[in-house]
Amino acid sequence: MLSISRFFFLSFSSQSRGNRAQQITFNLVKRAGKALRSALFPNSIEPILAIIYLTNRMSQNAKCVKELQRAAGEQVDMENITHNIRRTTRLSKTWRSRPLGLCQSGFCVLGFKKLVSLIALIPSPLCTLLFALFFSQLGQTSLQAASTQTQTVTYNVPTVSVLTISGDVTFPNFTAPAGGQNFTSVISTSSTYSVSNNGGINSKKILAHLQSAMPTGLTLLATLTAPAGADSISNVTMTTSDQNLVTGIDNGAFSANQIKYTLSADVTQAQVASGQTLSVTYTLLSS
Amino acid sequence: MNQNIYMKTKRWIAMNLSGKIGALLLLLSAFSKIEAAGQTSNLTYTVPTVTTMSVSGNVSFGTFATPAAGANFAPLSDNTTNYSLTNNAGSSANTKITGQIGAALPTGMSLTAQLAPPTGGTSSGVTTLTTTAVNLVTNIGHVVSNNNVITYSLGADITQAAPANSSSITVTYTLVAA
Repeated sequence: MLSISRFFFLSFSSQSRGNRAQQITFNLVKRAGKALRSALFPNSIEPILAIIYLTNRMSQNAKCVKELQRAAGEQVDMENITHNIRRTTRLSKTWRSRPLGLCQSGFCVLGFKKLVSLIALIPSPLCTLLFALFFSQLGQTSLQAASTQTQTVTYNVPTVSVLTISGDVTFPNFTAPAGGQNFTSVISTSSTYSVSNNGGINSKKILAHLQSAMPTGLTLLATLTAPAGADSISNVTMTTSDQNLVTGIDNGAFSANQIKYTLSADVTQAQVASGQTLSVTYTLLSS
Repeated sequence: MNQNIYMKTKRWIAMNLSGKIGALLLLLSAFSKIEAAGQTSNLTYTVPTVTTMSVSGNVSFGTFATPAAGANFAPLSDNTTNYSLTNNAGSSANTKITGQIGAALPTGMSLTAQLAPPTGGTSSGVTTLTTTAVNLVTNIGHVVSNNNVITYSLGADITQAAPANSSSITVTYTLVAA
């Protein structure tokens, strides 16, 4: 709901009485209100209230112009306003005013963008009192050029730092080497890892370690493809101690990044085994 | 003598004035009837311009669910609030509802709103809210309409959105002549 924040007093034109004079005055007031509206606030939809007291004295008109200029500052197109006032004044001089026509009329005019409505045609100073009462209620009730409502929307964004591994790995069997040769390493690239992180730039790293020591003669290397913006450390020999595999992980959701394992067996040390397992533990940790 | 003058005067009145007086009384009587029949009562009234809008309440999205690793936040939706409006401004369907947020959203956050239109109005559909007013419903005519659903969708891009707790966004709706 908008309040009436622009408020003007004009003082020009008639002292006449009678229906015809009032009708003429009414038309002039409407014209003046439109002139005010277009000159002062051409793009505003906000209600403008003007109280227009009509006299036929040029001195009062000049005073009115100064008052208007003071009230509205630089926004006033004074040439336009003055033109309309002069035109109105010329018309007012054609009226037959009575010497005792002291019933100076007050008009409350609401100027809208394309509408000027005569609200009251009441002898002053009663006009001023009534207008004050009227507009004190107006803000609570009926006159609304626009309505504004606000709504608050609240939310939480949690800290996210999650890592998953796609699944287990089964290496192919070591192939029997040619005579005088060692085992050829076996490789697995079947598994992947995914990360989601909103801890910030370079905020996370991935470490890994073996749950238990490798059997003698066996070596496991791991290489994790780094997400965008991060750094990978290639062929890290896995031990029971945590070692960095990926560092400098930024915010983001990074899925299906490849894990490459390379398992080597030294014929001279590795025991013959079947279906043995190794457990690798990955941790996404703050850098 | 006096008796003679009296008789002459009476005769003169009878001849010259009685008819005129009668006509005058008749005329006055007629005027009286005309006046009674033609009396009017002026009824003055004012229908104010009404352009009001209210929103039912605030919205609490709660917390984004932690996504699976490698996944982004799933957007949060809310349709628990609604708006009501009363409008008689303008001579045609030239009123609209605009919406804007009070301050720029944090990086990585996005908020869309979709307002169900009142009868005769046109919804702009899912519209991203920014600090600049955007049309959400247009072509609103003279209407009284209640409980039109507001649907929000709040997005968070994990790549950019920092963790936040009890953050709030102020959405301002304005019902205004188009």
